[in-house]
Amino acid sequence: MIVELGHFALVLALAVALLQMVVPMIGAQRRDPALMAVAAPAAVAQFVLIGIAFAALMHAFLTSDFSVALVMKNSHTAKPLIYKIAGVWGNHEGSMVLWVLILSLYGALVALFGGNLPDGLRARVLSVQALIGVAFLGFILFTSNPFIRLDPAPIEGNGLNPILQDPALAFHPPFLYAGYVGLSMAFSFAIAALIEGRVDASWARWVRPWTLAAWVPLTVGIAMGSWWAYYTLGWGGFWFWDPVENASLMPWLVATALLHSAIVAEKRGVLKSWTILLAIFAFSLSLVGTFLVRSGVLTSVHAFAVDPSRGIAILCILVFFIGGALTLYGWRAPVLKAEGLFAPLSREGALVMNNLLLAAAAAAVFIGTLYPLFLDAIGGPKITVGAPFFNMTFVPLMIPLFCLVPIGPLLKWKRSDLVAASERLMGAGVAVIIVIIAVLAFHSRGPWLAALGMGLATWLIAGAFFEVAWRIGLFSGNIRESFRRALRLPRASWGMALAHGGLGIAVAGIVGTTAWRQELVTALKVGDSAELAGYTLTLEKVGMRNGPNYEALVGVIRVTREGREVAVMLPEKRSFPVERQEKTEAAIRTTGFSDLYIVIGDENGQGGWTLRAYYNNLAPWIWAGGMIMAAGGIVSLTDRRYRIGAPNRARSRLAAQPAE
Amino acid sequence: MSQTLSDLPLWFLFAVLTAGVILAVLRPLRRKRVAGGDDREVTLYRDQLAEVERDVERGVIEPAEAEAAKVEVSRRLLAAAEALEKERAEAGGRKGLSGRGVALAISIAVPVFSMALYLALGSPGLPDQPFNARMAAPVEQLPIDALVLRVEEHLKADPKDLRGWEVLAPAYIRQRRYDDAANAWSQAIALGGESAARLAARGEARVFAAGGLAPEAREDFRKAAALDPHEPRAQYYLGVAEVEDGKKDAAIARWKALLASAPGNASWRPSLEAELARLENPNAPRANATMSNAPGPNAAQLGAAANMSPEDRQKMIEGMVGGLAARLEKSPDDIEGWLRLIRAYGVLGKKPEAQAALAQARRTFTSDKAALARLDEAEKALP
Repeated sequence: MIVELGHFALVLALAVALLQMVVPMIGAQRRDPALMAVAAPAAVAQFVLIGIAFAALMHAFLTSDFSVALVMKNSHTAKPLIYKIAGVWGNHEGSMVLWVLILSLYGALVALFGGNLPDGLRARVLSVQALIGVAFLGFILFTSNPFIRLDPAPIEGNGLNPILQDPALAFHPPFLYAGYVGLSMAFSFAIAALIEGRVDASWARWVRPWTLAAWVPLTVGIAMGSWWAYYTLGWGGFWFWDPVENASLMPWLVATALLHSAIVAEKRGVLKSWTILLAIFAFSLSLVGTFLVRSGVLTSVHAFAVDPSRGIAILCILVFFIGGALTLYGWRAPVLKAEGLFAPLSREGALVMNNLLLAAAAAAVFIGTLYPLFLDAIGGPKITVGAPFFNMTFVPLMIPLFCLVPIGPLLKWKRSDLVAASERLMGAGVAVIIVIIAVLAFHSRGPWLAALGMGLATWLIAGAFFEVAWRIGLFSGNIRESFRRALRLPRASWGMALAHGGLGIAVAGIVGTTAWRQELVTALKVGDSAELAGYTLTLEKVGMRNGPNYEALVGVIRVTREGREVAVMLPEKRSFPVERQEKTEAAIRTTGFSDLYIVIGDENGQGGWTLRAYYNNLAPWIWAGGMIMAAGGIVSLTDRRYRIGAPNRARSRLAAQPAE
Repeated sequence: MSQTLSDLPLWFLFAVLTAGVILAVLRPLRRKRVAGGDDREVTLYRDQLAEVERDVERGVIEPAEAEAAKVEVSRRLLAAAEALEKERAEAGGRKGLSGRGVALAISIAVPVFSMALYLALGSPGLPDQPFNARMAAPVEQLPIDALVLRVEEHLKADPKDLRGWEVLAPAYIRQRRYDDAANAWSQAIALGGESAARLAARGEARVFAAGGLAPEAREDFRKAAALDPHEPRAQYYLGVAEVEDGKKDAAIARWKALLASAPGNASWRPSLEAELARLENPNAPRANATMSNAPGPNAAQLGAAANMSPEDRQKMIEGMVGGLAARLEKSPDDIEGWLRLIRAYGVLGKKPEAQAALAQARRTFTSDKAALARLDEAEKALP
């Protein structure tokens, strides 16, 4: 009953999406306010309906209703509750439902909070958003239907891949999808503007908060994914240049570029055409990312052959949206004309550099990720593109970008001079030199590059700090005046400082972990000890533990430092009988500045247990930095400018205008 | 939620949902049309002008540049204001689509489209089948997989229940979980001690699990034969082992002895005789022989079962039971066959069939007191 209600709700959502696609667009072209106004309730209804479908699916997972084929294939009665929940999107069909749920959520948000958008733009945006919804709802219902039933129903399910049974992995898809799918908003805005034939400063301001709303969860999702890889894959690496990771990094890079170019388009009326193009690319890469990951094409082109109808449908959707958008762009973009002028050395100029470097970096990742696939598709040799390629392409693009990050915000619009900006960055420069010298003194045997890397991280962090300090006159001596200025500083400025500083913290974490990781691989008998980075690790005992749906081999390791006990760490190796798989569970102890990371392996046949331990300097900073960046995005999103023109405020603002 | 929802008919819920959606979507169409054009863009440019002032104050832009920037924004503001004027002037004379027509089209198209698509894709007749509700159903209605789960649950709570393990092990065999079956027999042996029947059954489970006569399986059969020289499975597999080891004559002697001591109506007799004949004369046609209490599925069937979905497997088990019933129709004087059929019906939850089979077997063996006693016992053992 509930299952069928969910199925019907999903079908009805497709009907509403079709309506939302057609009626408001006709209304916008005919300037009929009533028809345009249909868009908002339709968008909300679509969200409610997909919400019902999603809830029905989750109900089926929670009650282990194996008459639903998807539940039978991906769940099991012995599975813990949170993985029954996560099981909903831990598979192709369910993840697609989550995808459209988030898509419709963004549509509903525009309907509810987009009151400051002109009617015509809002109607067109929601119409384009509905077009995306139609494509995906159709894809779900006809090729990946999660509500297929089994009769008679089997009594037990097949379980969930144990590797997916992990809190970070279970809950990072919703974040990642919120980011991927959120970029559909920027896309819809871009297409709506192209259809309207008008991109002005106002458009850029309206598109920016929606891009930011997607960028924040995308950042969190990538950080969570990397954190999961860190503690699950068992050797403490945090980024593998794996195609799945790259698929999330590419839209992130382009979305970051888009955030910055939209500022220029809004404030200065230039880079409009480029901003539109970035909006199209950001969502296109999200689509490519979702599908390449989900369809398994990244591991092998031949995955398409396993389910041809699904593969061809994916291909058609990609071609339609990316090809269609670019065609529309080629047709309408020449109409868009730049308005403002600026000198190369100006804030505009710095933001153009930012865009060029980010776009080039995205292109490098794109080539590195898809070239092997392309070779494979045309029957060429199988190659893998790994870290060396990205270290040689991506990293050299990031270094000048990071050098520029603190300078950009200190430059003035239209025309600036470097001397004034560099004076303000003096403090940051001093901090960089101190850090480089300190690192060299502390780690006198190198590596030399690490000192420069830490210098770069300091440059970012101190740059963000001194920028704010200068704006609020922190060193002018008048604390009260500084405080007053700090309160008046726009939230967007605070957000920028947080994001840039967070980036610096993440860079410090990456450099620290890469340069100063200490490693220990040994076999210990019970009672034996080993040394790592000043810690003594003693294997106290090895035992078995029963989990809800697994059995675990647990090593009890006492960690002491100079004779004093620091911690007892319990690395596990879990085996899942239903799925017949094994998984290591690292024990991690963090001080905030470093991680001690222990993995237990098999018995070596002579009574010893294989133990791998790592001491990862500054590792927690990588994810802390990512979270701070996301927090910066949220702060920026609360800036008052984004609410300008909202109906309830519009009147009071208009009245208050002369006072400004 | 499930309680209140399941009381309502499905179609009523669908209708309510559809009607609610249509009403929500149509609301704007009933509204009176106001003159078009909105001033949000003008508002935004006014704010931008103010923002340039604030930027000057914060020192983000030089005052001279700010003047130029203000001119730019003012130009946009004027353009937007003009467009707004024009829009308002035009809006009065424009005629929109008929709101009633659009509303009618929507209220017909949405339900027709959704109903047609749902009927093509959905399964309106199937109720939800949450796991707990299914397990709470009466035992007779549970499929074998559910029974196994139940017994497993019971044994988790009370692992010392010998009978539980002895019931579970053959069920595992039927589910082709041979490793689990062997483990279950090990548990039974640990609890109830080594008996010839348990050892032989474990040995057979191990043979199935390994796909051949593994050393532990041979050990089981040797021990079983030592405890009870007439244990037929042990004798059979020991013979197979001898054939594998090249001691053909020993195997022939062993099987002949087994046949001599076995009751005339033992169900496995024909297949063993055929196998014996083939051993004595390798050119004789091959017969399928396993030595489970009865002829089991042959290798082809086993291979097929491995690739089957659980419900197909269930059907196959039922098919095999059907085959047994058909065979008993033709040659009814096989007490072992009848007992197995009755037990199978019981396990499959088919109580009426089990009763019918009991009655028929009693009619067949009216004069055989031992057989009647065994049938009585089988009746008691029915779930």
